[in-house]
Amino acid sequence: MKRFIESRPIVSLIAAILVIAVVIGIFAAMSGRDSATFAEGTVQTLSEPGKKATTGVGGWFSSLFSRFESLDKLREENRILKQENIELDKKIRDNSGLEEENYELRKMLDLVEKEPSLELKAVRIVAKNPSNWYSTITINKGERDGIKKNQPIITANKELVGQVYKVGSDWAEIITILDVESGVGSMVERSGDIGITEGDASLKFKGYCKLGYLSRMTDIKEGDYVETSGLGGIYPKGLLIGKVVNVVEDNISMTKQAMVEPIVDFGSLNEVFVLMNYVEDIERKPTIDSDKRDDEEDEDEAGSSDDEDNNDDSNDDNNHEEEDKTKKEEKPEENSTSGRMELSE
Amino acid sequence: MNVLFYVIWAIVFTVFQPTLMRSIEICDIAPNLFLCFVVCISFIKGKTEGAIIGAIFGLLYDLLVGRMIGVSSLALLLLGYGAGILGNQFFDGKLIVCAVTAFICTLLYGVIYYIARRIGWNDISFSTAFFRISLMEGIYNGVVCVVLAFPTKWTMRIMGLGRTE
Repeated sequence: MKRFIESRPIVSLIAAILVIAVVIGIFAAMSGRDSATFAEGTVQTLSEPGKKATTGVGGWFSSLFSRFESLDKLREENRILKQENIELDKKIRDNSGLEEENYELRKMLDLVEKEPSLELKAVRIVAKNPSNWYSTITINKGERDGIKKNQPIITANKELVGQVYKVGSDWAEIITILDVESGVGSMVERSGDIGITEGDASLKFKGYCKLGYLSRMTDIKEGDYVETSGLGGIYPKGLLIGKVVNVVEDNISMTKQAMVEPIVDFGSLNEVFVLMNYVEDIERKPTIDSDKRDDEEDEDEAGSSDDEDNNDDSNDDNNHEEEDKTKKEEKPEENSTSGRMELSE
Repeated sequence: MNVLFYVIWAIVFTVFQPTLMRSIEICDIAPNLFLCFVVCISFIKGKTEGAIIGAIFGLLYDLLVGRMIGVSSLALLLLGYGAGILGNQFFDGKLIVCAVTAFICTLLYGVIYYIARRIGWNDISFSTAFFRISLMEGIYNGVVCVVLAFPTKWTMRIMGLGRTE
């Protein structure tokens, strides 16, 4: 046999191919049966671990390639999401700015509705002092809108900002109460003692102004609130100026002086009112310190149930000290405390 | 071309001084773009043009501020001339010299302004004028002057302007 194969290799090869073809033909003819033959079973069983291993490796390669594919997709998705995130952030920031503006405008509208006797013109601050030596702001309305020199500038909470100093056709310059040229007839809210609040060049940088021309007998102490006295014919009585932070006695001139911290945060001012008409008195409930208010609340709690209503009212009273602390953090929707400057009608 | 160059910068400073500069203020002190520009111009263009531009830009600044009109004009005229002399001595493009000059000019400007206010209104102490305002503004102006020197040179190059002295 061996010799035959060696002597006639081509014939042997053809014969082998024919045998294999016949075997394949036989197996193909038997393909309709239900169970595998012994040979098939043996071959399948022996090859099973190899197949499993191969499939495993193939699967690993397959998942590896699919991972690369999905990595590209993820990168693209990530890029799109980042872009969307940036856009959403921008929208949130824009909305936040709009909410704040909306809140300010609502307060302004509220004041206009509550105080029909006041002729108010809402203006926007467009620039601040170009020089470090003064404290001024520029607003976007002027002579064309009826703005005149010396008109008071107030906030929606009836806090004094300053007065009109110069007027152009469609702009006006305001000097704030911190400016050295500013002088406001003032009154200590608690005692009713009268003085003049002036700007001071050195105190300006601390954000304070000076309450001077107080007699030595003046009843004034730290924490007192200062408001306009109405004297001088420019500012109406009752506009809140600030809070006393320090009182000094001058032994030479026999007077008292106080440092006053303005209620208004000049850095964050955007919209203000110009008071177009002169009003003698803006009535306002007296400002109450938070500790006093707490005491009152305690008394109310101890009192009858009827007093609870009064207690609720006292929560709405003018508590500027608390407002100072919470003003920046206060969200527009937390508008419940904004009525502190409410007027007695 | 020369006039156009100065008009452009004058408009830019008039707009930016009360707005952008206030937004970058540190401890309530904002840089003075007008003074910085006059120092830059004096260094680049020489003492004569520095003095003229100092007077014009000083007047513009006075009109912008709206108080004591003429004081800044006079101060910047003198400072522009002085900075021009220093510029002649050190015209080798050393920005540090320009910054130091801006610092010194701000101190001198503060002294001149203080004297004027002292004469006119007597409403400010020397310590506030010098230490609280001028010293801090001088440091800030020194930095801004260095930054401002680049766009000034670029615009001069673009518009084909050079040193006159």
